[in-house]
Amino acid sequence: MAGKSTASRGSLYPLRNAVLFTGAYLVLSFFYFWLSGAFAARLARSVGELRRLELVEELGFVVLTSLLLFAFSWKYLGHIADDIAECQRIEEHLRQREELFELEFENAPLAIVTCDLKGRVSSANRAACHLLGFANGELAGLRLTDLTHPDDRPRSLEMIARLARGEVTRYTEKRRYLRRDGSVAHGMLHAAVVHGTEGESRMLVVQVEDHTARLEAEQEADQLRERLAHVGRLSTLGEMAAGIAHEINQPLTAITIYARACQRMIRAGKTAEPQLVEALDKVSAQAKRAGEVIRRLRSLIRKHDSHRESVDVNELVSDVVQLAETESRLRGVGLRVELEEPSVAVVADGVQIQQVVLNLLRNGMEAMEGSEGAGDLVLRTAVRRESEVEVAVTDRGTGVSEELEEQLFHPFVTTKDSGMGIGLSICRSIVESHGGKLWFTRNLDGGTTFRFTLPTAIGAAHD
Amino acid sequence: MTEQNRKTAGSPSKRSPSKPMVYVVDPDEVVRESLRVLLATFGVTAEGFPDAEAFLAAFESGRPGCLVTEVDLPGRDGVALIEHLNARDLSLPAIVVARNADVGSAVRAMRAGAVDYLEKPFVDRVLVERLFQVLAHQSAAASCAGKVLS
Repeated sequence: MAGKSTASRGSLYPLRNAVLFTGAYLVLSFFYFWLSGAFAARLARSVGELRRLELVEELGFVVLTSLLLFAFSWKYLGHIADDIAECQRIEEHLRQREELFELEFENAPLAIVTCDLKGRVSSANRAACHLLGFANGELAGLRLTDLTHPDDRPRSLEMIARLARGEVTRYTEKRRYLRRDGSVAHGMLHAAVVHGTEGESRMLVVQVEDHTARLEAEQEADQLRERLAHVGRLSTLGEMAAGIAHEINQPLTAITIYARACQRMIRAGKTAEPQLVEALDKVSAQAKRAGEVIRRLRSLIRKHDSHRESVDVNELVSDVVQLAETESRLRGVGLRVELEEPSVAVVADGVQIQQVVLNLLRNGMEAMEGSEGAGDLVLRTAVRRESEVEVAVTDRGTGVSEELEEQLFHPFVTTKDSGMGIGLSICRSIVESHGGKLWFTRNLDGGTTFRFTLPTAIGAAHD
Repeated sequence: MTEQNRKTAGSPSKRSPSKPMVYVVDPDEVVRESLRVLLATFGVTAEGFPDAEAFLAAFESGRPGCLVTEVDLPGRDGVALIEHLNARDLSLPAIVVARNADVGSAVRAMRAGAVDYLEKPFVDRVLVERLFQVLAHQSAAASCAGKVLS
């Protein structure tokens, strides 16, 4: 250690110290002999020569021992100073490192909190204070679970205990926290146990990624998507107006006619005739039919907060088929529906998914318009693996050209005369936001098949 | 039914050689059925057909009657049907009803000689009035012809 020290001061220490020690020794010796000399002088009034010889001996002794002391202290005691200097150096070094570490901890972009094995906060960096809305230093001593959202508290307590017991060394989980002002912060938590030199658990280190901003961005994206989807639906409904008008017209016509017939029968006094009752039954049935059309339309027209729930996929698809059937008859395109049984549930926004299916069906019909006898437009549902459902619309139309393929999912591109062309782009956006995919393939025997997948309720639960 | 026909048929003094028949051509069964029931309360017999081909297969000329046809038919449309009848010299007065009424098809229909063009949902009173005008006109013409021949 001594020989390796590089500080220039260190090499002077031994010399200086040696001089000091020897100097001290000499002074002390002088006093010793002066005192003892005075004492001996009194004693030696009678022993003259012996006194002189002793003095020389004692002086020689002092000189010899001083030299030895000098050499000894120069070689060995200098090391003590070296050690001290080294210690000081090490302390300084540690201090600097500690300072650096403090800076790193304090200014880390991620919120970091250290706490004891009971979950009591011992230190928290600036990001953590910011995340939780506290001022610097206010977090110390608080319990982490108290800062957690009440719904997440049991889980937090459980995991802290498990970490402390050593059952788990680290884990990652979504977690909600309560800020000082009571608002909720969403985060992704990474927790780990810190072990001491003997392997014992000493404390917990918790890092939290702030997901609040991301969550808010996702929510805003959802809202925008729903607005766009709504516009898309209105546009679709506008294009379907003729078919819808017909759907309502037919039952209304029938109601008018039957009602008139009933009037005449009653005026003619034929109130007992079964035909009267029959006719009134028909009126009722036709009114119900018209009501059904309105009901199905209303869900499409409505703008609503996009919300997801578990829905049966075949039921969802069937509802749309009713709407599409009219169009298909009007266009002279046959529609065939093949739904796989048993059906499964998907977690989805029903209105948006219906919009996608309707869009694909109408596109298929358009592609097939004019090509009579080319076959039917086929709508299929199929369960692929336990976690996914596939819905496919196969047409026997003219197909998708290479130039069109590029542009197909771009917004505001359309091959139709009327229509805004946001159909496929919003369809893809809707499907992807549900965790699925939308794509198309060219059929070997002509036409195109558009497919999209949705995660089933079981599949979604694993997320 | 027969008594009613006698009471409500056009000309009071003359009986038509055969009962007038109203032919309803419309793909919607409900429309056909409801018209049949209504016309029955007037004592008029009506028969319904889902499309032009079914009608043509069953139609026998020489009988007084009227055609009530929808424009939007699968296959041959209503106006084409009228034109077809004209071409074959099968004179049958026709009233056109349309669920997708537009000027174009109205003009075509009238040019083809339709008696009237009504939009759906139509005011049934108008349809019935027109029908009776047609039938009355027919039986008047028939009795004229009868007078001329005798």
